[in-house]
Amino acid sequence: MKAPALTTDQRIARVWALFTVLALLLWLRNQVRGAESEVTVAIEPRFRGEPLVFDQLTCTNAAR
Amino acid sequence: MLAITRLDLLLSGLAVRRTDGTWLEKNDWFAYLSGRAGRTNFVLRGLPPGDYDRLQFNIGVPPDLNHAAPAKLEERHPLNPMVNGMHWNWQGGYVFLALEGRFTPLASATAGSQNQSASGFSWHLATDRLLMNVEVPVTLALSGERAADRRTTLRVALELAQVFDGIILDDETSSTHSRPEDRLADKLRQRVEQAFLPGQRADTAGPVEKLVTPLTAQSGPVVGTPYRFTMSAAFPKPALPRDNPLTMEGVALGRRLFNDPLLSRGGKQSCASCHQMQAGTVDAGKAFSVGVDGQPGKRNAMPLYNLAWKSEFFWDGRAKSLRQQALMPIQDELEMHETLANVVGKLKAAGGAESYHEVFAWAFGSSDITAERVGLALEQFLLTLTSHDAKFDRVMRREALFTAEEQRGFELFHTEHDPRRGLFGADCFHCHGGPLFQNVAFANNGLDHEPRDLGRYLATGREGDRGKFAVPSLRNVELTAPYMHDGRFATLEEAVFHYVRGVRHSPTLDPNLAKHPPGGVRLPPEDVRALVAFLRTLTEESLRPGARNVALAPSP
Repeated sequence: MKAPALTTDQRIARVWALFTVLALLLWLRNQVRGAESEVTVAIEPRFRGEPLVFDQLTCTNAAR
Repeated sequence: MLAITRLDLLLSGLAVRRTDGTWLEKNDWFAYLSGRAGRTNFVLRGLPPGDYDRLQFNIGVPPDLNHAAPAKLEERHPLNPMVNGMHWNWQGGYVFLALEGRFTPLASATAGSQNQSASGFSWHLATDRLLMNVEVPVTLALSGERAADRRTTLRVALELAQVFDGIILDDETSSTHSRPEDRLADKLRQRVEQAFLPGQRADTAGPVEKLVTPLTAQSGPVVGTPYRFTMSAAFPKPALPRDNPLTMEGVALGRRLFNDPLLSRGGKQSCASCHQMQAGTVDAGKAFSVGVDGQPGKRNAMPLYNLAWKSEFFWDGRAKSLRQQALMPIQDELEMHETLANVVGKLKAAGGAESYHEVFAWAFGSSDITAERVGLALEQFLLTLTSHDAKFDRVMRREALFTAEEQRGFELFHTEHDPRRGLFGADCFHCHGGPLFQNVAFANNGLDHEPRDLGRYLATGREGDRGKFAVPSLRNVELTAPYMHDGRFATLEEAVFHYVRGVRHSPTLDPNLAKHPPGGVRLPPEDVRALVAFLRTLTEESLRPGARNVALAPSP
């Protein structure tokens, strides 16, 4: 048996429903993303606790 | 005493642990850190709110990537060899960690000699066996506030004393390239893994530094016909300027300007006067080119091949872009000695079948002639000067074979000089490695005890840069005599022999040379000949003087 054809109003309602679901999903995605953090990890080269200075003779060979 | 001159690392496989013991992993994450360049931060994006107590990452890359061809990676990817300079072609895979420097041997130090001779150490940890895993306790609490309001910095200390303590630097410990059975490499691996320590508490006020520099936005729609840039499939992707896309019209204008004497005072010289296409793009046979006023320059004219894979230009790297570089010889009083205003004026006034107004309009969309546009057009042309079809390339593609002597040279070139481990190579690949036979660094290659030309130091003012110069590509080196920044070596044989007997120690001598025996790698004459034979396989036949296509040498 053939399904009855949708009226124009029904079609518009379906499109609106689809838009609403998409908007909800987008909003949820943004909420999750908004809660995510950006963290900078700084790897700090040191020598005996002091910042490493390149090219500078600072320590004894065989460090002990 | 010891001094560290290089600390570079490749990181991968990042993970953070929640306080409930579960891990959040990012397997497709990579970073390249370079202590000397101040590139020591990376950014973790998309961390959900929560409390985290551990940070984990690998130093090195997993085996599948370590053995993959790096040429396909995007130009700014941390694993692109042009970004990190840490890929060993023909040796296989990446260097995971490079730690280099200078030291005074204990015997020399205890003798109290006033003239202690420094040596070099070069530790390169690599190969799948030495993939390192680091786990550091951290305290990181991320709330669910808007990300834009938070700028969290997590500090991790890399305590290098942990690596060096107890290791007496001498001939035995001055070098490792992670070959099998190398106990020093295994020892260093363990020490490096343990050298990462929690830093200060997470700082929520510090600035966020992005690892990747934002790309310059393209200024508008592309004008003209896109230029087809050609390169070897083995080359890494170059970072071509996105705000100056190559077009047929732009390249043609750049070529015309390159060859036009109007760019010099009195119309006596063009760029091509000292960068002759039929002579290896250098000033054939001259140590110093002579400028429009008859005065010699201060440094040897550099070859112009494969500049797309360079990021700093001139022997001292003082120009940060080709468009900037291209305008400097025009204004240099020892070279073309002209003002940019005069150049623009002359170009505007020039007649001919196709006036510069017309040609600039084709290239840039309007007929305005400006110094900036001159630089952009020259940049486009220079970027097209690629070279990637030498005998060496054909051998790599299995379309040709080396002679026995060339093969010997190839092996010497790519083998370390480490007599204690039975390795007697020429150690060339450290600086002239990869398919481009260059690196993007600056090095002191031991030409003088006291450099007369301070080189890179003049551009940076850093003491550690005294006597350092750009490491040029060895492609077409046969055509670019004389050699070195001052053209002191007339022949390729002389240049190679420098590394055999002529290396002179100084405080900034590259550690990869300083670790060699006094004078150099002490190869017998037949090995020097073999190296020269191999270097000649890097010559692109079409660029030889007299070759038919030499004038069109840039990418076809």
